Amino acid sequence: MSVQELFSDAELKSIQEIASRYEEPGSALMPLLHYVQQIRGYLGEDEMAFIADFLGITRVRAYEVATYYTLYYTKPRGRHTIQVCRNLSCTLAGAEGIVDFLKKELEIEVGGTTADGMFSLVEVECIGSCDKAPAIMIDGDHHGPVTPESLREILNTYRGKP
Amino acid sequence: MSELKILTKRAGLPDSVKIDTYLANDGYKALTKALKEMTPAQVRDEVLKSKLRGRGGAGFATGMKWDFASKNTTKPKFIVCNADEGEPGTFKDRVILKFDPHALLEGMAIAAFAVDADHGYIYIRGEYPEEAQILMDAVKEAEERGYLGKNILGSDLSFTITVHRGAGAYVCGEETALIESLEGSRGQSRIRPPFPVNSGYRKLPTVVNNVESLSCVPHIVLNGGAWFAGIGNPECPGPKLFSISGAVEKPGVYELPMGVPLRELIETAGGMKDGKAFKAAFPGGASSACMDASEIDTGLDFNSLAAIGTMLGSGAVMILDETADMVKAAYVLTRFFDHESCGKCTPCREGLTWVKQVMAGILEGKGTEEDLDLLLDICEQIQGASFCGLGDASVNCVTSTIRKFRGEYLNYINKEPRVRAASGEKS
Ligand SMILES: Cc1cc2nc3c(=O)[nH]c(=O)nc-3n(C[C@H](O)[C@H](O)[C@H](O)COP(=O)(O)O)c2cc1C
Ligand code: SF4
Ligand code: FES
Repeated sequence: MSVQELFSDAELKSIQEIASRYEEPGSALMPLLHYVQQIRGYLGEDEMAFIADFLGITRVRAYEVATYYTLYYTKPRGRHTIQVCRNLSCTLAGAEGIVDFLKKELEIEVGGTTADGMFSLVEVECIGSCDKAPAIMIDGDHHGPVTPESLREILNTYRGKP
Repeated sequence: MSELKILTKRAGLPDSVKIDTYLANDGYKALTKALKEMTPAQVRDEVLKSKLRGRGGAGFATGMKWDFASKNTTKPKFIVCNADEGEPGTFKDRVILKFDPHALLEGMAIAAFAVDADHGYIYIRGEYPEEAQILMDAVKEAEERGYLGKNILGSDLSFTITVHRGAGAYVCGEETALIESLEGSRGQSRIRPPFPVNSGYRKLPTVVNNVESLSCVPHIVLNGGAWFAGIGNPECPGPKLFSISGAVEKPGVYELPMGVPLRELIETAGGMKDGKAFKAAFPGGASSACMDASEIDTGLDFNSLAAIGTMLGSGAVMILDETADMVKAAYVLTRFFDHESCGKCTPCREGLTWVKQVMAGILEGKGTEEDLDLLLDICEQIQGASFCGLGDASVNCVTSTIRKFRGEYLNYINKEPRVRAASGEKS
């Protein structure tokens, strides 16, 4: 696949700008994976291969890194990803009930995506919002303490978002 | 004990992230003082005198680390700020990142002056995208005003900072794994020695310091090491940001002197939630052994907590009340470590999965008393043979709950199988 089909000129410029922040090419890998995921929603194989070639590192390294970290997704997912914290302070505050509620409400299992492609549901470890337990993240936003009632409202606000 | 307003003094101000607010409230005065009135050796000396010990968890003396780094003359040299804040229960660095980013930048610039470093990186956890943007904006502001960049304030110091986002791996908070990650590899721990001060980022000398440690530095430079050393426990002094969560009325970040008794921290956080009785605390996050009610008057500092067999870590205090299930709590923490083990060494990788399974069996009502001995035995092996601090600390939750709350384990062992079993959950 040619570069033109993968990324627009503006996107290529952003890629170059990010890479230029580092003297060590490998160091630009994670920021570039973040960037590609931000514009594409997940890390496709072609995109990862392009980034690796662009940086002059092996493709397998890019793939290894992408699969090592929790926040990189190598498969398509819903438009919004709901991450529910399952660590101690959130569990003490009822995180399991939150997961159960979301499973029912969205009719999916943990790891799944709703039929309309709107939401994916995952469980994560402490997200640094323990003072707002039970806490969740949707995309990059922290919410908490959440209850089934507040969650219904929160989900609705995301339904309207791109 | 009343709350301190040192590290948090700007956090409540309107527009606290802006450089003008910072400048109007003593901002960049310490950097100016260091560059205009002090030598790098004098700065290091004040930090040594302050007795500041690393706030990231390990508690290593910051002044000593800087002395080692200054002795290595290989260039370029780096300052890496550890803003990974991954220890469960920790959310204190976030207060600085979100509300007082320039304090961190100033601390890093002073560190660069003190050890003759050329470039800085802030490795910030992936779950803090908003804070990462705040930092990037702050770096830009500081560059525009000449507090970062070439020849800072007309001095010989040229230093600026790149903000680098992590992607959700707890082990990347460990300094050598963090460096691996910064280089764009899977973040797995490296063997130490060599220590980062001699061979860190790109195998070059690198000082890794926590956000809070670096943010203490401007105060030390402005007010003197002796002033800092006069706050709290004289052996390991200073102001400390405590993250307190769990069964208290007002969970949050509180700035108190090192050595404040646990009881007073709980009171500062509004007391126990709904007036319930205190049962236990993990004073240093998931990695620490639990404290029980008999230890509630212990001072929260490196030495006092070590003396009772636990640790301060990052100051992440998780409170459990009389209704909490200690076996379930230990299981949740074990599941966390099992999930986060980087897989490099066998005791940690295999041992933790085994511990988790035995714990799950107990929760399901399938446990036996022999399982408790088995658990202690596996834990001992993990602790003795692990490569990095993750493995070492991972089993403290299990061993301490078995020792202090054995009765709760026996209740599970001698009871009918429970309906809601934890083992059905995905890891
Ligand atoms: C598993 C593990 C996780 C760690 N996570 C963090 C962290 O999130 N933030 C941090 O500052 N230090 C963390 N540390 C400690 C670092 O390895 C290192 O000691 C610290 O960043 C040094 O800075 P300081 O001396 O200023 O504390 C962690 C250590 C281990 C073993
Ligand atoms: S102790 Fe665990 S986390 Fe640390 S290097 Fe070994 S496997 Fe990785
Ligand atoms: S335990 Fe859930 S955010 Fe920290």
